[in-house]
Amino acid sequence: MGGEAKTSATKFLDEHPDLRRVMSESASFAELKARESFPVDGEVRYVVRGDTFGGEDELFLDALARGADPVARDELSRALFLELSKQLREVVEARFKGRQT
Amino acid sequence: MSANEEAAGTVPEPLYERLRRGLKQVEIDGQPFYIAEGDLLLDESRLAKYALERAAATGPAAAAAPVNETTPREELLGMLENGKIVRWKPGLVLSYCVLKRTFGDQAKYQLARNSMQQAAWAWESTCGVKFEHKTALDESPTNTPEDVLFTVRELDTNGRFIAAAFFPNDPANRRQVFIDPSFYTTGFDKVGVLRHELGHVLGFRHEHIRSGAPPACDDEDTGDTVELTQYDPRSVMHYFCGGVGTRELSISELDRAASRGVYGPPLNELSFFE
Repeated sequence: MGGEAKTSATKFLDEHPDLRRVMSESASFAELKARESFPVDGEVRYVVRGDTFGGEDELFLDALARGADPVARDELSRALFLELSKQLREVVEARFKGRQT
Repeated sequence: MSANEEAAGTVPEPLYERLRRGLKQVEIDGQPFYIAEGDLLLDESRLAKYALERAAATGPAAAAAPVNETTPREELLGMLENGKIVRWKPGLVLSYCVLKRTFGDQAKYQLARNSMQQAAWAWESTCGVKFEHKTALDESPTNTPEDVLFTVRELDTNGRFIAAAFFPNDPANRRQVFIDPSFYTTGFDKVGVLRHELGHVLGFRHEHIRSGAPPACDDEDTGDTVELTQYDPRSVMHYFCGGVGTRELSISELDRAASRGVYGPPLNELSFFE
């Protein structure tokens, strides 16, 4: 069957390897992963978008979406966003064009 | 349904009423007609049928086809994959079972089972989808029984969410609806919580992440979502945040019109022929 289809988040991160690098090196993201992970049937899943489960890629982008808000309630997500360079912030903000004003 | 939601809006007009108000009218032999799509002449009864068909249009192009500038397209916040709206294949029965042994006791299992049945019925009477509860599989010894599209089970996440769900384009092993023990004591309408979760199962994203939602509502990754109309604070997909949303989590008129745009009218409103 050619393997599992890539999610939108995975495709986006594949296009932006610098973001993926932040994802693998960030202490804030490691903490977020620990906070949002739940074992389900022997597999680690992450709570993303409030009430759905996703993989690491979805968790990372979901956290950045929250963290992009200067008055974000979730400090960890905000800290993660602030770890990004100005250029990478612009890359993710372009993806989250919906709510940010 | 997230646990950390906090507090309602406008009831939009049905598509038929908006068309009546928005379309140009002409009088032919003393009888009024509405002009749609430039050259369609519709009397009152044909306009009603036209509105139903338009709401049932399955493709994005058909749903977006302009009647005229005064007729905005109605959509929930849907998902896109390769530029196309994500939905289940036409005719697919959305089968599920409620894994009895995962629930604390018989009463909780029964509550989950009944709430799922009512939530599924609410969507079936809203748009062209069909759920099937395969009751025999409720006793399954495995968490991944074959012959169902998804399972419903209890999972204790310490109230991280009230219930959680999946999307049509999620991998098959994520097709599970989870119910946290906080579900049994929530102040939200329990059937409403599951109407919301089944909205995700049908491919609808949260309404409160759209432009126009209060800033107090949580942001989410909005990549590959389709947002083409006005924001609906009364949507079943809206969290109770920033002073809007409802605890009933009912399917709103806009939800109805938009879900029909993706899945067509309820199957019991159609006559099928072979």
